[in-house]
Amino acid sequence: MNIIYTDSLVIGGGLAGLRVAIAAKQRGYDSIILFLVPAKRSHSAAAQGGMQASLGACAKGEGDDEDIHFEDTVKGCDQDVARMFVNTAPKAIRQLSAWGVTWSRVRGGDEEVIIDGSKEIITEKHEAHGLITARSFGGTQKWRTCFTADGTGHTMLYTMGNKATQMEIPVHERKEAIALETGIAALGNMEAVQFHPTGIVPVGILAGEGCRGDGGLLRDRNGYRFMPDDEPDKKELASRDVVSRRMIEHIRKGKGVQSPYGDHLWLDISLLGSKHIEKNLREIKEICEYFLGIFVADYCAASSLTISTATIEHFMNREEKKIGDLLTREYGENPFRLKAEMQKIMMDKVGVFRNASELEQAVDGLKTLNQRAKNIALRNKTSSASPELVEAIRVPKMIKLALCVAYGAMLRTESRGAHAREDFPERNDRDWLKRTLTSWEDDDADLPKVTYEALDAMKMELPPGGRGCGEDKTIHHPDTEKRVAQIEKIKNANKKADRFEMQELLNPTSIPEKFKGKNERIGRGYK
Amino acid sequence: MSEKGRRLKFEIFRYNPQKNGDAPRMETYEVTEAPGMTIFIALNEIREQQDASLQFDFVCRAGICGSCGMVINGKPDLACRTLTSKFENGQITLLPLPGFELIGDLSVNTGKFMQAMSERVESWIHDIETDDMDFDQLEERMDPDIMDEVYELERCVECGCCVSACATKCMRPGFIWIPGISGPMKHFTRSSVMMTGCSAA
Repeated sequence: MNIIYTDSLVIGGGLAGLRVAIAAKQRGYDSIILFLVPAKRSHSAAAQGGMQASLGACAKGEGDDEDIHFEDTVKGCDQDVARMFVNTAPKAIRQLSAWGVTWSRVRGGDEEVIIDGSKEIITEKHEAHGLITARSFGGTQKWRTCFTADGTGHTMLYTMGNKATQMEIPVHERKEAIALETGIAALGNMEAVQFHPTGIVPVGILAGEGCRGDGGLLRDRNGYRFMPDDEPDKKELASRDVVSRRMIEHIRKGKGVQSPYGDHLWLDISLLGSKHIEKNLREIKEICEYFLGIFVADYCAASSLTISTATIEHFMNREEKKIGDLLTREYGENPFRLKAEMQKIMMDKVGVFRNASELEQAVDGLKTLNQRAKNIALRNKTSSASPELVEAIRVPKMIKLALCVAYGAMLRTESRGAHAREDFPERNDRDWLKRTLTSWEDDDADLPKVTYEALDAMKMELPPGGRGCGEDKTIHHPDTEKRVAQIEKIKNANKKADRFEMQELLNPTSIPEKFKGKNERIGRGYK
Repeated sequence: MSEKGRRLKFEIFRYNPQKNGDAPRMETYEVTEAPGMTIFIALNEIREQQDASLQFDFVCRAGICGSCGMVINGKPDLACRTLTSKFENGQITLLPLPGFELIGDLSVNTGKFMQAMSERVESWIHDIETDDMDFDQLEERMDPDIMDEVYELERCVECGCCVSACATKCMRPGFIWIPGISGPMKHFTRSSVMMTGCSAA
């Protein structure tokens, strides 16, 4: 066994992994990144739309601040994380600018834009000329999404990659790591899989949300724009999960466009004009030219782990034995086929809308696949650079991950965020105001171990409740009402408090000292 | 869209440098064309159904990660953005990109070349103050038109297609390619190296 010593080991070399490694290195810790693919090939590049920060420089973003951003972001879970994010996002965007991200800038004067299907003139302030601008995205109250034309993920990834290179952080590429199978690392909220609403038929490539943010419309088989009927407030700009659900509902009504690959809907960007598309949606244009999905977002559970060298040795030996078995087993399962079967189960039964019977079938089917995956045999019994061996190592792990998603979804008998249960359409804070933690302790087990971590409603800055998309059917937590009254009392007792003091009173989030500074905005200063 | 597609004939370069005694050769595979099929889709089908040892790289399948550059009927291009319908006679010859370290079959180490280039030209902002700047205050202003111009160069996905097609690169080990250094780059302190990738070419 070749042991490499480091202070900090980062698994994954996308934007998050690179940023963590940079931060660790800046604090004086040696860092190593392990990555499946070469650096800068990460799928972070696909995050084309942008990143939210309340800089408030563009006309439609005027008046924005951390508090409005917070309101737009979350009602219920993980408010501490949301608070930390909204307060530090403006600093992160400005830091990335200094590191080299080519954020699109405000152009003072009149500009023609498409809002809600019709042309409108926006007058940008001349004093904001040259500051970082923002686009509309996800139905937020202010235009807040900072972007670089259509390639935000790309420019951020390259800048971050270059920064890591500058800091001499090694990226060990084309490497595998195990986490879940150690039984020590837990995965958080795995059932909360977000579906991207605009994947292209049939290749499944994403057409970025900038299409809708910039004024693109969703149309059905008759060319009819249906979103205003179902979501009169936010229409096409509602959040991803909401738009995905409305689209599926509309297709189920028989309004989809028929194709050999199943029914689909149209995303119409023709009204934006060729000049805008050429500049701000060029990737989309090229995709349309070249070709004619599912986007997974997960939440990592922050937890402190102790992993001893003995543990690592144990798992090294176990993995080596597994590989040895793979190279000697005469007859058995084909890993490509197992993967295809897993994909079909997840696609058909753990989709945008879920219900008990389909989820049970999915869990049963995946359990069988998990057993079969223990008996994979290779057609090419070679240990050198073999894509089949890579697949044989990965697929059993993928099946375990799929089980974490499906089983978590089966157990969570409510609808929340991206997790939509047809048989439990209401959000249920009474029973489910908690994080899911999933771990796999016993390699021979058929199912992961699922535990829950309750969230304290009495500590929430915004009392938990529905996100205001459609009718509110929330089953409230018993503490919600108490917290509402308590917040009211705190507000009345501190009428002179400014918004920063009020936030401190309602949600004393522990943000590191160096990131606590107030953010400056044009025309507003540090208020 | 016909129900039953035509038969495509792939001639694919095969060689595993890690395997003792393996010799470079061309192998033939046949695939039934499906509507909207790309080279990437066809290669996956070959690997899954016919030859599990076939090596090639991909990540995004959408033309943005730059992993799947290869020589397609004599021209370097991205496999994921090349429709099979483009080739009228249904004959497709695939070779690895020349000028890069061969990992095996169609897989080459473009990442290593790009990383070395990045280290050599120090493709980051050379401003020691960026680590101690106050990010609470308004950011430095940039002219929106210049920013757009700079971004045009930023579009490069480092797929290596243009590099592989460059005879100078093949002859001179010290080859370096920095387009735009005299153009919009002079307005901007960022020194990121940008190859003109396929998306920009």
